[in-house]
Amino acid sequence: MSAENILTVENISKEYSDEVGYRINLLKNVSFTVEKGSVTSIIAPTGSGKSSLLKILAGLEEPTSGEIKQSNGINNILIPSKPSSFPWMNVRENVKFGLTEIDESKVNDIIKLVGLDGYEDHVPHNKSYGFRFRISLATSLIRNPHILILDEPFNEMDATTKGEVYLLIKSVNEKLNTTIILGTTNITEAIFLSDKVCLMKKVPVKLLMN
Amino acid sequence: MQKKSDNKNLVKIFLVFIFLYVLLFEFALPLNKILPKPSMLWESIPALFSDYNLLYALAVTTSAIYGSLILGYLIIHLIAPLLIKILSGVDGVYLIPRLFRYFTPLFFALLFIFWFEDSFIAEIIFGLLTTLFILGGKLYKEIPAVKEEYILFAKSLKIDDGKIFSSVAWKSCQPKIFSELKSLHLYLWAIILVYEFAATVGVGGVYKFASEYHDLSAIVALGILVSIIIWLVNMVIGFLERKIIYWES
Repeated sequence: MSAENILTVENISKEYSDEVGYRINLLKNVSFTVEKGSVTSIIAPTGSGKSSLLKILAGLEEPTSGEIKQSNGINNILIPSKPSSFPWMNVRENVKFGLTEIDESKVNDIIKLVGLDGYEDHVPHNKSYGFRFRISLATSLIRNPHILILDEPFNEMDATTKGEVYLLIKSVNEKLNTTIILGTTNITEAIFLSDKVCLMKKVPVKLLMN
Repeated sequence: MQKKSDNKNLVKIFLVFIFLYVLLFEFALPLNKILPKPSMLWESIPALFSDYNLLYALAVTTSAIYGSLILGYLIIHLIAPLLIKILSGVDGVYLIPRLFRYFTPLFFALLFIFWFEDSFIAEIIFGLLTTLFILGGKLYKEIPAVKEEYILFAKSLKIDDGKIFSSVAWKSCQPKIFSELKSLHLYLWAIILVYEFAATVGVGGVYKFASEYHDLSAIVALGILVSIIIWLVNMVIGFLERKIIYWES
C-alpha cells in the first residue's frame, strides 16, 4: 500500500447553536491523516459528533475552525447510516442517477461487483438494509470517489448480512483501490476492516456562549 | 384482512338497506316526500338524460372537476420547487390560506360567478385554485418530513438542487400527495356542485332545476349516480396509487 496521504485533517472543530440559541462545541481539535487506498475507521461513541465529522469530510458541512487538505480536490461521497438508496428507482436507475455520461458496461460491472447482478430491475422498497446498502455503494462507486465515507453502515444489518458486507467492502477496497473512511461505534468491525483506526473521544458538551 | 371483512360487511349492510327501502317505499308506505318509490326512481334515470340534458351537464361538471384535478396535480409537479422556495423564502406567505379558511365555498363560488359570470373557464379556475391550495399546502407540510438520508446522499453525489427537488424531495412526498387526491376529489365534487348550483350550470344546475320542480326522484337518482361516479373514480385513483406510487414517503 502506498504511504501517500490523500487526506490530512488538522485541528477541526465544530460548534453549533442549539434550539434555544446556545453555542455548543461538538468537535474539538480533531486531527488525523488518511492514506490513499486504505480503510480508516473512526471509532467514537454515539453522540460524539462522528456523523458531523463525516459530513465535513464529505464537504456537506463546514467546520468552525481547522483545515482539511486533500490531494486532487474533494470528490468524496458519504453513504449515510440509514438506507439512502431511492425507493422509487430500480437498482439500475439508482446507480445511474444524476450521471450525465453513462457507460453501460461500467454500470454493469459495478452492479456485478456489489453482488446485485440479476436484480437490476428490482426496486429497493421493502428490501433489506444489506440490499439497499449495496445499491448506495454501487451508486457511489460509479462516480469514482476519491474517498468513500461510510457512516455506521452495519447498524441495522443482521449478523449474516454484516459478514457479507464486510467482505464486500474489503473486496471493493482491494479491487478498485478505493480509499474508505468508516465511522463506527464497533471496535471489532473497525479492527477487522481497517488499516488504521482513529479513536475519537466524546467532547464534554460545553456551553460556549449564549 | 380487516379491509376485506369490512367490505363484505358493507355489502351486507347495503343489501339490507336496499331490501328495506324496496319493501317500505315500494309496497308498505304510501307515496311520500321522504324518498321516492324505487320504481319511480328507476324511471327517472332516463328522464334525467332526456328532460334535464344530464349528459351535457355531466360533461361540463366532470371536465371541470377532473380537468382541475389533473391540471392542478401537474402544475404542482412542475412548479413545486418554485412554490416551496416562495413558501419558505417569504416570511408568513404560507399563512395566507389560513386567512380564508372560515369562508365557505359558496362565498367564493358567488364571487367567481360575479367576476366571470357563468363561464366554464371560471369554473375550471375555481376548481384549479382549490386544487392548488390543497395540494400546495400538503406539499409544504410534507417537505420537512423528507428523509434526511435521501437529501444527504443526493447532495453527496453532487446532484444539483433542482434535481434533488424534482427527483428526490418531490418523489418522496408523492405518496402523501397522491393519497390526498381521494379526499380532494370528494371535496372538489362538493364545491363544484355548490358553484354550479349557484351558477345554474352542469350537474349542480340539474340539481337546482330538479329542486325547483320538486322532482324528488330526479334528486335522489342524481345523488346515486354522482356517488357511483365518485366511488368509481376513487377506485381508479386507488388502483393508480398502488401501481404507480408503490413506495412509502
